[in-house]
Amino acid sequence: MNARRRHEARAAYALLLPSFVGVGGFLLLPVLVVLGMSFMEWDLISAPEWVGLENYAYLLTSERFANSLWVTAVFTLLSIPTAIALGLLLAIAINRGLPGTSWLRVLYVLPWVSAPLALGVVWKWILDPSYGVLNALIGRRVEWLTDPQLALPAVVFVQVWTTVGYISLFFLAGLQQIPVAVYEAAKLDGAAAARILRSITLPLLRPTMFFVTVTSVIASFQVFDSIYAMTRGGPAFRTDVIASRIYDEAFVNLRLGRAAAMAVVLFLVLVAITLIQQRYFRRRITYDMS
Amino acid sequence: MTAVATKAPTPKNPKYQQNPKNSARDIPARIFIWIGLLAGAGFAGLPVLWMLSSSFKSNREIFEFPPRLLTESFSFDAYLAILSDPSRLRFFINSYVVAICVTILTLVVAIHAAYAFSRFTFRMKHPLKLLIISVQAVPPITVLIPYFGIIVALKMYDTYPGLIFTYMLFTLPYAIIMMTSYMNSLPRELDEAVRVDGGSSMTALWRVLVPVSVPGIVSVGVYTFMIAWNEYLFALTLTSSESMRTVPIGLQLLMGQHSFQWNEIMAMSILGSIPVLALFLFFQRFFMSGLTSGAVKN
Repeated sequence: MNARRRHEARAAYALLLPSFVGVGGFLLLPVLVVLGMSFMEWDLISAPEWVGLENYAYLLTSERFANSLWVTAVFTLLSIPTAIALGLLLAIAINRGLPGTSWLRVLYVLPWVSAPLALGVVWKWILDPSYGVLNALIGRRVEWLTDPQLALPAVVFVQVWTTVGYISLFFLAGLQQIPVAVYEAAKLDGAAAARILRSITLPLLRPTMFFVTVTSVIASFQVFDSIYAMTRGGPAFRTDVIASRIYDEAFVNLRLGRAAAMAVVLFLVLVAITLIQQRYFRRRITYDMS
Repeated sequence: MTAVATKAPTPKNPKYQQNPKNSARDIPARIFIWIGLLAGAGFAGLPVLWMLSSSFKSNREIFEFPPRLLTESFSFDAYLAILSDPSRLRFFINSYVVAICVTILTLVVAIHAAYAFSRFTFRMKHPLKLLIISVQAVPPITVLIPYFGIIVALKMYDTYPGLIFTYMLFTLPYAIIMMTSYMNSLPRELDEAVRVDGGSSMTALWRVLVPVSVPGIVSVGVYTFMIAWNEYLFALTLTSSESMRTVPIGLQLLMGQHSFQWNEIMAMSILGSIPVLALFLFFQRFFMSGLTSGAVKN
């Protein structure tokens, strides 16, 4: 028995070997390297030079870095609750199974399956002040992506547009897991629609809500493609999200040490957010359906 | 503007659809929801349709005022311009090579790992599983800079393997998690029978488990292909010569070089979206259920 188990364990490790060579070499190692590089100064040309905590000291005082953290936070706080609320509504509406609505799902997910860069490009054109179709429709010139006041809301809008359909898929799958019997019982007890939503639908969607929130927040803190295509972080750094700051700092300003330090800070922020979300969702009750 | 999709009143619950007694009273609400859903779908789909219709316009019509959604002079000029230009075709070849290799390699590695996690007992199972889950949460942007260093050091800068290995590390953890949960949902008796009969575990995996896992494999494959095909930031950082650039970078280059040839830019965007779109439409059912299966359970 013992020998069989040892044999089984050996087989399992053999099966897992390629995965962990990859994960170890290409994910854990880079995490250590980025940590090391954050204590160095490197411009790609001369050899890296140890500078201790200088990069972090710089980040503490850098207005530009504080600005990107702020922009990313605002971007996340505006886009995710909106996308989740709309996605949930959409899922509830689709879940009613009205005739001819199931194929609409495909249309809703269209933005998410299209290449993000292509979407950034098409929105850049739609929102173009001189040649854009939106300004042509409303009949006046609005600098959607170049007005410092409008640029961030505009990119938030595009983000929400891109993700709503995708998010609704998850809620739809979650809704379909809720047994009809629970609703029937509530209906018999005379529960009103709002009450059913609050006391049944939302609590039972908790695992889905957790998944969607965590993955959306993590994705949102890394958003790059569409924003870079639309604004390149401008105007006046108003859409300079943290990913585009890291990229520019590293490969435009050639300050790889600083960029690495930013990456480390971003990593810690994301870990913290994930832990907080996990606690928040654990504390709440879930209905035991077994 | 985002409110278009929300105009529908909060629906009560899905039970109503099974209760014909309510339907008469429900008709106005249902029409309302129907209109809301339709408006929302139009809102979601219009920019993509705009991309499509613009790609068939002539460059003169592109700047016509007021803009028309449907083109009058239906022309393939923009597509011909892209497909007849070897340097632009090259972007597509690069993207196909990279995305297909990433998908196949990811699937093979993930299937083995998922098999181990799903069907074997071993001491490090839980810690290793936890490692995969936490590694999945490593945001790619945070390892961009070390990757650049590592890929240069391994002499893989500006090569296919450089991109393929890089993308696999983003797709692999997710693929392992998805495949494991898919295999967990299949009865153990299936493959155990083979092993009891003296078959090797590899036979059990490839002859029995893999064939019944096709829906899971397809959805993981589509997702992996999509990540690899659409990736932009690492492709931008890890390649430099124009002959190694992938479609998203090519699109960006096209924007810079011919910033007023919107019909060509849109045609390229369409060509760049078609592979994923086709996979998605073709495997829609598998993909949607596979994608969401891990999310709805605790």
